[in-house]
Formats: sequence, structure tokens, C-alpha cells
Amino acid sequence: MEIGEYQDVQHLKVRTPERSNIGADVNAGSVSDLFPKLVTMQRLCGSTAFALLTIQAHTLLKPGEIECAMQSSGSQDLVSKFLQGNSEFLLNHLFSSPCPVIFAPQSGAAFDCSPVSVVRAETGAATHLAFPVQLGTMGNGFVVFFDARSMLDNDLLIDLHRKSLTVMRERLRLAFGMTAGSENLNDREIECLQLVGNGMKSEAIGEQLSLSVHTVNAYLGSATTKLNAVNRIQAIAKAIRLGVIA
Amino acid sequence: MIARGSFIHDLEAHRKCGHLTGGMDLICAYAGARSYLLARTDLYSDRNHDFIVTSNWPFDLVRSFGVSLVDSEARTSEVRRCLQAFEPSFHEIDAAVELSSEYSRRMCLIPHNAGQARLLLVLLFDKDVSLSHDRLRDVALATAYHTSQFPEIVSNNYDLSDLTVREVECLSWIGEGKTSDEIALIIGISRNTVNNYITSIMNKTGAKTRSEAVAFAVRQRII
Repeated sequence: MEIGEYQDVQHLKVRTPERSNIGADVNAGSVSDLFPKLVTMQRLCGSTAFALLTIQAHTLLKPGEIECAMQSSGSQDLVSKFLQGNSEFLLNHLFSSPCPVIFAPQSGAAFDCSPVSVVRAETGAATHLAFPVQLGTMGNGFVVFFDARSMLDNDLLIDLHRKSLTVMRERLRLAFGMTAGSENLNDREIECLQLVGNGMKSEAIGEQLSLSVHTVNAYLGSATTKLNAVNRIQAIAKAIRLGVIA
Repeated sequence: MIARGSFIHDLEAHRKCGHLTGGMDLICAYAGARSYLLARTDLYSDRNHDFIVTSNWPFDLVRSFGVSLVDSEARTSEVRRCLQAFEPSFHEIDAAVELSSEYSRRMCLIPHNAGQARLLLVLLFDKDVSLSHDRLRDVALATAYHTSQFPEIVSNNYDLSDLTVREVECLSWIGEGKTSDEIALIIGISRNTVNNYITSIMNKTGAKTRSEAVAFAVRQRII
């Protein structure tokens, strides 16, 4: 992980030598430190505003939720108008395709980039870019740039998409640092939870891990307490949602 | 060296012709790799090899080494998976793995997501080849772009439609830690009916215990 971060710095430095100090903030201490990165990206595509949207995946019970987590100053109206018209499309797109989306005016220029999805809007004259990021159970969303005026080609798009991934990953890492409660679970507790989630009974788990049934139950009990759950089953549901077990 | 822009362009051409492996060969060439294995970690099973999407490794290597890689990736905690998604990482290949001497003992793993699929790309290299980390990051996205164009690869294979609304409702309350008695009180049906729903859920999802049924539902984003 650390090596990866180091290379992020390298990468930013190479690509934007005149603003190398921006890339140096890779080990960002707070979410606001991601701002300069987004600004750099915004400049790369000649856009006037950006927004970082986070998405809660839909389940059968509740529809997906899309929220604006960060945005450039003064873009509130722009973002809410954009979300009003495109929320449903964005939600569907994220869980069906990793390809960037270009929102272009009806009568605009054709784009020589693929495999991007181009959406032709009925109204408006600006070109917006949206980069889907799906890291897994968590860290899903879009990085959006409004009114992009740079020449769009595959090279620029993949570059911005990679930076979008980095920003979302960094954001998730920060979010995780703040809610480290579930990380207090020890290996045995996680192991037992995982096996219960796989449908094994305490007896079978005890046999597999060479523990007594009581020890297994004790581990599960302490895991339940640590996850602030009322019983074992809720503990499993919480653990999976938190990503402690698969 | 292939330029990035034209690489994505050529890859798109393979997609249009429906050439999955052609595109993978191109990805391999761009990465400077010798051979690849692409598998779905979310479909991992020890009973069959359907989770292997495509590979140009020798079959024996896929069956032994490839399967064990996917297995360990499938066991990775979701948090770690999310933080590592689209991020290439290098690993030494265990000395016990029999590999032709032309290969480098370093491999590259690239976990990534496309559509509903959780994928793992494993690249093997020639000996003494110099690797570009930068290019491998392009590869992570390019592979996701490429595979997402083949719906049969990235679709969700589970049929969830056979759970009824009532069953999902019960399941979600179980997931909240409620007992059968409490659920009966909440949705106003008898305890036995609740238990019947739960039995039916377990039959439909193939779960042996309530815990497994809830785990399945959370994983599949039902609740």
C-alpha cells in the first residue's frame, strides 16, 4: 500500500511538474486535502466546476442513494440541477459499466473516444464528464467535471479516470481511519464470524479451528459486542456491510 | 511500445468484433506481460472452474496455482479489497509452483470491478523484463473497460426474483437482529408464519442456517 502511494506522488509529479507541490499531499490528513487534486484535474480538462458524488448501492428494499460529497465552490446550483436530471442514469451506469460518461449537447461535435458512453442532452450547451469509480462495497461514486472545454481524447480520459480512482480510494482510506471500531476485532473473532456467515454451526467451527464450542461462542459473543449488534445474525450483517468479512 | 491512446482505440476494435481473447492479448502486450489469467473472485467455488473467465496459461497452472490465487483473493476482507481495487500489486511466486524457467518469479495482481463482477487479473512476465507501474494502472482500467463490454462475463448470475416481498421483509428484520417473535409482532403475522418464511428463504438461497441466509442477502445487496 505504501509503495502504491509513493508511486502516486511520482506519477503526479511527472505529469504536472509546475504544480508538483500538489502531488506531495498524497498522505492527506483530511478530506479537504483532496481538493487540490480535484482542482488539478479540473484544469486538465478545462472545466469550470467539479463534484465528487458518492453512491450507496441499491438493495431490493431501498433504492440507491447519490450524494454530493465534495464540490468546487459556487457550484451548488449546477450540481443539484445535474443530479436532478441524471441521478437515475448515474446509478444504473455505475453498476453496469466502468466506462467514463460524456454528457454532451444534442448538436455538439462527435467524439473520437471509446469506449466512453456519450449521453446527448436535450438542453444545455456544455459538455460534462463523469468518471465512475466502483471500488466494491464501499467507495463508489462519480467524479464529475462540468463544462469541459479541453480537447477530449482517450489519453486525457484515462488519465483523469485514474486520478478519479486515486481520489476516491484516498477518500475511503480517510473515512476508514475515522471509524476504526470494527478493526478492533481480532483475527479469531473475524475467522469465526466468517465461518458462521458461510453457514457453519459453532460445533463445526470449533472442530475446524480446534477450539471448543464454548470458545467459538465466546468469540462470536465478543464480536457481537464490538460491532454493537444485538445478536450474532446482526453482527454478521454488520460485519459484511463494514467489509470485515466477505 | 504501444501508445496509450492507440492502445485504448485498438482495444475497442477487438470489443466490436467480440474478441475477448484478442483484447486480452493486446492488454498483455501493452503491459509488457507474457501471459494472463482473468477470473471472477465473486463466483469462486471449489467445485468447478466456471469462475475462470479466460487465460492463456497452461491448464495445469490454472488449475493449481490460478485457483489458489483466486481463492485467497476471494477471502480478502472487503475493506482491503476496496482499497486495493484497480491498484496493481507485485508478488513473488511461491517456490513450490512449477513454472517454466523463461518466466520471471514476480507476478502482478490487479483486482478490479466491472458492472456486477469482481475480477482479478494475474499477469506473468518474462525473466528480466522491466515493468512500468504506470502502464499497469492503465491496464487495470482498460481491462475493466474491455470486459464490461461482454455482458456474459460481468452479469450477475444469481436469480433473486424468486424471493417474495414478505420473505425479503422478514430477512431484513432478521438482519437487524430481531427474533421470530419480534418479527411476528412487527409485521403482524404469527410466529409460525415467520418461521415458514424463513425456512422458505433458506431453501431458496441454499443456506444451511439463518446466519448464512442473512450473509447471502447482504452480499447480494438484497437487504
